[in-house]
Amino acid sequence: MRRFKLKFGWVLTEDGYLINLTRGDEIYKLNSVGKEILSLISENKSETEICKAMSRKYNVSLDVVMDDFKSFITKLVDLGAVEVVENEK
Amino acid sequence: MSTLTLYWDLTYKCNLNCIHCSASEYRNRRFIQSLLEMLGSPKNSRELRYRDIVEFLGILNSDSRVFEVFISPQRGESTIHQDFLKIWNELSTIDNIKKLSLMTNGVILYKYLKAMNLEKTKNVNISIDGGDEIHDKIRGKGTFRRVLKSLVAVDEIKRDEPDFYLQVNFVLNKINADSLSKLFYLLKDLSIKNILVNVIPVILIRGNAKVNRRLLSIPFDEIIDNISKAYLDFKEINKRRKANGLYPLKLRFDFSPKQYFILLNRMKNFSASTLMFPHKTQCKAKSKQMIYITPYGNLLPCGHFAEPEVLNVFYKDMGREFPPHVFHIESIDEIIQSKFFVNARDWIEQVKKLVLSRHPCASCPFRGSCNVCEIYSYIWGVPDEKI
Repeated sequence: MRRFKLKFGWVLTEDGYLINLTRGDEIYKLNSVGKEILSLISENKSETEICKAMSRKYNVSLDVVMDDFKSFITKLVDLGAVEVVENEK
Repeated sequence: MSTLTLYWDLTYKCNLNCIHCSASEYRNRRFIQSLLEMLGSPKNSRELRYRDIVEFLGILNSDSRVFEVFISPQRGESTIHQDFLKIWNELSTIDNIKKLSLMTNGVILYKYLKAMNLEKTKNVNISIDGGDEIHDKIRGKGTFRRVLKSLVAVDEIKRDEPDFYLQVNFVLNKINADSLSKLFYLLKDLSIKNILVNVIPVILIRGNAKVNRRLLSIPFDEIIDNISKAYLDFKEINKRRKANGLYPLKLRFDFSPKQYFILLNRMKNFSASTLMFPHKTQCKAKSKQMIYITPYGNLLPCGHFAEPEVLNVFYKDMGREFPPHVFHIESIDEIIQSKFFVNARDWIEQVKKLVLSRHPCASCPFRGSCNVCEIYSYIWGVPDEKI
């Protein structure tokens, strides 16, 4: 299972803004779930750990959470905000 | 229609002698004489009075541009100028001046406010260095009480204007680093909608600040530690303000993006909604959007051109052409198109290329968002290089 991290230059603020300080004009507002996921990513939690935690917290099946997570993380990777740091074998 | 900002120091004199002042040399007669010689107007060594600028005000009035005027942007305390009130009120009546801003130490501002035409005043910057004891230690005995009077008076006059900004500048140094919270508490009951606390790390390259650098110098780590503590109070005060129906205070650090990055990585509790982030701005001097006016009437592309270190290098690189003067110009275009201004724009472009092509900027990941002035970096070095 994968782990991720914010790319160099990106920061997440307490109120859920994702900011690229290497550009300065790149600021995204995340919703509360998105912010929570990124906070867990910052704590070095793995994809499975994050999805399980979200599934428990919001009482949604793990499959659904994993699908949503993949879609969300793909967007962040495409933006250049997040990178994969570890792939589980 | 293009907007041109006039940065205008009516005087280089000051009623204070702060220990962190980086403009104290400008109070020295010999320094000024030497500067004026470099600017090609050694005989105009008297600060301009109202009568001296009447014609220049007429030029502004007849120009097709829109102007913003920022009084006392860099050095000196313009409220002590003999004709401050007259000049301010006259500027307020000029149709194409749309916005007036004032930077002040606030010590005597409260005496003038009732007589000032504040209709176009959209921004007042007041300097406060912490609580009463620290502020007075840095700026002089009794100054805190008087600044507070000005602050309250501005709040009373401007509280109902949604587009008015009160900016409180805090020059952060070793002496006052742990007093930032006191400043936040001071502002907790003010009613103005837009209140921005601007934290400026002390610049130690000249003046009293250079003389007192051992006393004032503070490592960036220590700055972050103090900000971390103060930020908890900042949030608490904003909670209280919200409960009292007041808008939140906003906070800005005069940091480079690299410094912001270190700060935000170390502190995870920052709210973007109350924190102003750095962004790259176009150099106004290069884009013909500003004119800096010295108290002696020299017209310059920006305040840096009133610094001997900058002029020396500029003349060496580009040849010596003296800048225009308010006594000898007939239009704003004449200033912008003068040889000095053209050379300055070319020079800024060259300096920018040079700075960005060499260490440390060439490999800096923050160069795309960096807001540090290229002239500053070229002459004095990159301020965050050693962090």
